[in-house]
Amino acid sequence: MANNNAPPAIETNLTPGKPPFWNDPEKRALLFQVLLVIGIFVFFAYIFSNTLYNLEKRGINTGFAFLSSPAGFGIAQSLIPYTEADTFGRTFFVGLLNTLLVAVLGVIFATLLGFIVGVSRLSKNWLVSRIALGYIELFRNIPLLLQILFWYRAIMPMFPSPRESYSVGDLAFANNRGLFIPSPIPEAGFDWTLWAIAIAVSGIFLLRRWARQRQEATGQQFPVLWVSLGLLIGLPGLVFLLSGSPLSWDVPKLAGFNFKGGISIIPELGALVLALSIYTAAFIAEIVRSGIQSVSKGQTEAAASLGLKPNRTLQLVTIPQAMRVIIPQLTSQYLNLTKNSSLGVAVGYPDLVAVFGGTTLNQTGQAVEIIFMTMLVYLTISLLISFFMNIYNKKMALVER
Amino acid sequence: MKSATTFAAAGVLAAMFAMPSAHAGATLDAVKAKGFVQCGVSTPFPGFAATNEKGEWSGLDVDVCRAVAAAVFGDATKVKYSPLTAKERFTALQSGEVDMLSRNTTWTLTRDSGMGMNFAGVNYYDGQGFMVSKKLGVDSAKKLDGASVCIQSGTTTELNLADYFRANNMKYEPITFEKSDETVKAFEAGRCDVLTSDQSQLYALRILMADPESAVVLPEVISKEPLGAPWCVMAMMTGSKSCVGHCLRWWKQKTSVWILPISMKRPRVKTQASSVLSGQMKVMRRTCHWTRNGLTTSSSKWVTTANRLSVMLARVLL
Repeated sequence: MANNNAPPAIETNLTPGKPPFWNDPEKRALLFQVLLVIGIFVFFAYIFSNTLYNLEKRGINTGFAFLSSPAGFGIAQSLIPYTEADTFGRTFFVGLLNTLLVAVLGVIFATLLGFIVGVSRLSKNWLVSRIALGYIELFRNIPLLLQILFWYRAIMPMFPSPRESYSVGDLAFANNRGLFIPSPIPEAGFDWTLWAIAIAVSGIFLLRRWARQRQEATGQQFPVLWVSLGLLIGLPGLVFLLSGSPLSWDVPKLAGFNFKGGISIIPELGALVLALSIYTAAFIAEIVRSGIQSVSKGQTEAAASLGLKPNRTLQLVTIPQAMRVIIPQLTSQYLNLTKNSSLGVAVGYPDLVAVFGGTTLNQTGQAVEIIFMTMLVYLTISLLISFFMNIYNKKMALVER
Repeated sequence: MKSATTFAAAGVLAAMFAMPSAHAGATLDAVKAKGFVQCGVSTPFPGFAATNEKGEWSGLDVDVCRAVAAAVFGDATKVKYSPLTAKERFTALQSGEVDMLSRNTTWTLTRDSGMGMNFAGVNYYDGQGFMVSKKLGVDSAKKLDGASVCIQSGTTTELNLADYFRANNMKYEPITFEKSDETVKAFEAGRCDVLTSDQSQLYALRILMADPESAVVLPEVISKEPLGAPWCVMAMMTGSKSCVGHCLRWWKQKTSVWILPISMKRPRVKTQASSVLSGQMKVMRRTCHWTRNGLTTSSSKWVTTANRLSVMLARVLL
């Protein structure tokens, strides 16, 4: 008799059979992706080799060897030491630093002015808000190039020639060649003052943190602002006096045609920063207004019902919540400002595009390499700005439960 | 399925590699196929390339273009002009946007070798000079220490200026602009003390100023600037008789007509090319103080230089 105790064999292999290679959707997707990557790579290799072939056929130099040839031309403003005997590579860095200078100055002034105008636009005072509206509409709608040319051609020539400069106590001079202010020359012993400033700044950060902790624990407020100011001015000042005032000034003097000595701010830089700041501030003002209006009205009413005055409400309640909306748009305005600084070539400001993409390109004839390097620089600057703004964005993001 | 995709991909790749790379064709063939010469000239500049109210171009460089068109097509009007700034002129020529550049461009070794261009001749020997306002009371370029100088960017002017000031131990502040009329505006506004450029440009730009009498061109000429055109043109001073001679022979081949300078005592055959050329000669005589009485076209001691030039021209034209 058959042993019927064992249960019938059950099909335990429940997974479906693996399809063959060419029917498997996963493998197919992988294959197409690999082919696409190879195709893109081949495409770019073709473009690259075609360009090189054509350049060689036309007899145009290729390669980056020109970066170590002597430049031979002068540059009006350079933040690092530069002479005509320096290389083209050095002109690249001079132009880059000039662009960064304009970008940093422009960002600072544009943000300050933009916030002021943006908040004024929402003021209850009819005149103030209309003036802000006029400012925004005027400077937003006129092309930036025209604004730069206006400041350079119409305003700068109103200054007199060097021999008849406006002067402030014979120390600072303003004429149509620029603004000349005395430059500090640190002598031996100035390091102590610098260390004192660094200690004061870190002390201020620690003080703020301690004051906030104390307020959260006991509710008592601490006059952080006045104490910080006193610390910042008092401590380095004390160290400075004790070390014998090791600072002398290089006062600009008229010698022949121009002023020599001191720090000079050329009118091209002034016109460019002024035009860029005013133009971008108009956009930032609208962004700030949109941010403030995005905070729900309930917040303002709740703050008012707690007895907070309007400007305290703005400072403590509205703006911190509005920043979440403002920051991403502010990022794009900063990027715009950095890229718009290349318009300085219209007024003769030696930024990256003018010095490297203009003069160097013309002297060496190697357009492809130079434009490629310039585009890479702007791309890098923009990516860096976006990166830092995104870090700040993440910190300010709403943490939901 | 897999083999089909693979074969398709391989076929695409093979086709891409089999495609001929785009390559530069011969300039003359392209010009003949187009039917006109695209000529790069300077942004309006009296004496060399300027437009009148009707939009007609005239000047020394313009006449060169018209002579070339006459030589290639037998019709001097088959030419179109592109005004180019100093910054964009070389990239325009390199990329083929213009067929030739007749744009008071200095002939330098760098430009002739590594930029893919060929200079075929000189049409004006110039030199760099300085222009200052009379108010400054300066009478020599050696007294310009510490001055602000307005320059056009991307020119040999910048380099010569740097060399001159360094050689004379003087300092200067360069203010560079893209266009020559911007430099004049800055000079008039007082932004710079000195305007520097080729002397022919300085005199031409002075005409365009609001008060030409207020500026004076200093006597120093600090460089030699042979202004050439990447095409064969008339040269005007000793040493370039060979080029002139060869030019005339070349035009004879193209147009089967001898084109002779005005002062030669031989009967002139009036053709369009020759009238253009004689017009050009008139301009040159007036503006360039040419004092030679005439040119010989077949002088044995110039044969070897003519041969060398013909090799150079063959590279340009063929």
